[in-house]
Amino acid sequence: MWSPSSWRMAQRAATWGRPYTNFVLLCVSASLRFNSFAMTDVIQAYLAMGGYAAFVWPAYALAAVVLVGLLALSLRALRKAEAELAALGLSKRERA
Amino acid sequence: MQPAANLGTNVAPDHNPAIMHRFANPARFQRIANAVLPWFAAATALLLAAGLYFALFDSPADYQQGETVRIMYIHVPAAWMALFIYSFIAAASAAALIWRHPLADVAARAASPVGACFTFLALASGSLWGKPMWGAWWVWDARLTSVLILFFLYLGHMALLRAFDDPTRGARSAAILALAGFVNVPIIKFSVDWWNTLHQPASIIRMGGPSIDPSMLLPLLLMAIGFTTFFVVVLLLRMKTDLLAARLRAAQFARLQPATAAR
Repeated sequence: MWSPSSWRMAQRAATWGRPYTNFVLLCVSASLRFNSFAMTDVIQAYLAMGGYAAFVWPAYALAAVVLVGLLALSLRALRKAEAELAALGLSKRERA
Repeated sequence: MQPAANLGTNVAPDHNPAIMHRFANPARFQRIANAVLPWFAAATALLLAAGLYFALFDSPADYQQGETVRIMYIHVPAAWMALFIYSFIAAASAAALIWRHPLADVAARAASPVGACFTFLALASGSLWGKPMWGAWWVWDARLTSVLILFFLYLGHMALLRAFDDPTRGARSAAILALAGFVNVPIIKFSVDWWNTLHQPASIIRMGGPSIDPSMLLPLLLMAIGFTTFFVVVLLLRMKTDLLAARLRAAQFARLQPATAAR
């Protein structure tokens, strides 16, 4: 009942698991959109996030901006405090 | 080793050195923080990289929500961090008020902005998830409203710390606010049980164990633990900065009065 290519796909899915299955689903969705598809179409299908790209990617981008920004601001304040203490010319013993 | 009197101006004037915990020594704290920071930084990078791989590649789409379920891997860990950090601030405030632990005030002050950031992330990612799934950017349901109140509590805490000329008074007022607002944390947790809410009920921390599929639970836990180690890194950095600033103030003060400078 199954074609040989379906068997091969199922075998590979069992071996490589979910990333392979997701990749196959992406290829299928890309091929439904385009008559023939290339890797760039698969990447486009992935970035489209099933039509919800306008919601999923801003959420991740916002998280990256907020967390990296917080880390950067904290590091900058620490460097500034260390520099100011060093500028006062304190000895290592006093600074500890 | 400098005497205890050489600490910054933000120490409670009547603190008793005899009951000061051994970890309260700022120099010892700096050493421990410097030793521990690289490990937490490395753990954060690894956990977030693994979490993002599973969240964005190696997890399935939801049968109802499609790919928007991937927002959950930002939204839920951020919300957990918002609650966890507020509980941490409440505990630190209690330690500061009851035992006058010198580092407790520093910890509460350092943690507050991080908690506010995570609460904002939880609210914003929740809105981005709610628009396609519920059809609304915002609803005044019990959980969303109580998390918004939590965000205002964080902002109020940060504002109170800076509202007074005397930093000790600011720290004490902020500590009382943190403790009074702690009642909001169980309200947020149980809001989905106590009220008829649009927000879904608990599916992970509930009686009978998690009802979420393991393929989704793994990236969720990886991101949550990664966010926690990130919080520790930023907390330690901010606490180090605070203690250095206190030492700077003390050194500047001592230089202005050479006749009475502490040795």
